[in-house]
Amino acid sequence: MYADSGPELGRIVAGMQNAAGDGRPAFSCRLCGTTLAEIVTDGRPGCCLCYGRFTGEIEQAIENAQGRVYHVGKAPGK
Amino acid sequence: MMDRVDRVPEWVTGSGPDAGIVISTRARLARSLAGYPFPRRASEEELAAVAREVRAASSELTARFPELRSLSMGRLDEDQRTYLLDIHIASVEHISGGEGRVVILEPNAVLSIMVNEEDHLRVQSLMSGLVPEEAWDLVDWADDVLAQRLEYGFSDRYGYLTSSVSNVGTGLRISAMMHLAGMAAASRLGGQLRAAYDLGVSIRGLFGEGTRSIGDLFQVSNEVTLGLSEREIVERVRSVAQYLLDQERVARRELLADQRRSLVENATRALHKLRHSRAITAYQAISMMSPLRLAAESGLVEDCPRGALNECLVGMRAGLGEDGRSGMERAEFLRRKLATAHIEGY
Repeated sequence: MYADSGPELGRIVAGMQNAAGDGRPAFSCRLCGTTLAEIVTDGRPGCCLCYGRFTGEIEQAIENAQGRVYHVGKAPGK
Repeated sequence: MMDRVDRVPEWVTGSGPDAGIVISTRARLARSLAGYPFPRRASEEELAAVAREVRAASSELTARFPELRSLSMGRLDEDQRTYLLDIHIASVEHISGGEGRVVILEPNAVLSIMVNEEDHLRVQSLMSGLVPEEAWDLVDWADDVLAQRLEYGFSDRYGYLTSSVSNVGTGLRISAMMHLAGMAAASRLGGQLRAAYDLGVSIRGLFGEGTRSIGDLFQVSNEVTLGLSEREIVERVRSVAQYLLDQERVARRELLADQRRSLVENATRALHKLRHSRAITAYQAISMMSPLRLAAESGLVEDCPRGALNECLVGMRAGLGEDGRSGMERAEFLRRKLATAHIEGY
């Protein structure tokens, strides 16, 4: 699963995921269960909360996809 | 609300501005509900809950669109589901889904909402001709109405939060489907396509991402959704589409002046093939329709209205590839639709 991210990064992520000790990944989203490893692998958030939970990784994915990270358009209710 | 789709979509009529070259304009807004996993990670119960919320919120849209109806994929038969694909309202993935996958649609298909496709909502407008401003105004209005009842996922930094980071920000994709047969015939397309990429506008084949052009049909759409305002996105797509439109007009005028005979011959061959094949693939048929459409728009084909040509595009079931309709059924359908078309000297 971590092969695409490089062996070193894979070990670090796996280490963090075992930190909780209850079998559940320590770095996961509380709403959708997406893990840091999944975000590192494909850059795809599982829900809106993931954007806050994995800010660094997702911002990098946004920048890769769009070349920028700041919204300048409309907002709900404005 | 009825579980039926029975009217010819507005874009098929071909009545919009410059619809001889720009078959349709689409505006699409991707929106998510804050409290639910995105559809690919959601349970059937969560998908059903999202569908309920969106249906309830969309009832506010009936003030302007009283015939708005909600169609659940799980309750439509195969023909009805495929029709939604053919009229470019739903995707292959969406029509293959179950009860929680819904399309909310007004009968002319000018306004629709795909619920639980890649995002919880895809609010879409689809209109005949080159009308990016009108298409945007309509989805903007629908979005404001829906936002009064729905809690959208939104961040001040990233904008509207979507299931793919490539749609985050405005969530807006404006696209124009263009028939660029004149430029293709004059081999002028390559340079123009490269120039469009430099403006942040992409040009793809008939069925969007990852597809190549068939029948000289191209989708012109904004590449990024973040860091530009909605108006800026609309203007960029408008300016590239308008430029291509003007170039296509010039190419067609020159073809008509210098190569009238070859235009007629190509269209005659295409019409013969479309009308006399025992069986025909979607790829062959769409390819053959390009010279016929080009000649018809140049006034060289009688009794072959634009609407009939668009109906051919819809009815040949191209969206599902060769699985959509058997080659013999497709040939029979095209024979019927093109029965009265007539080319000088044919």
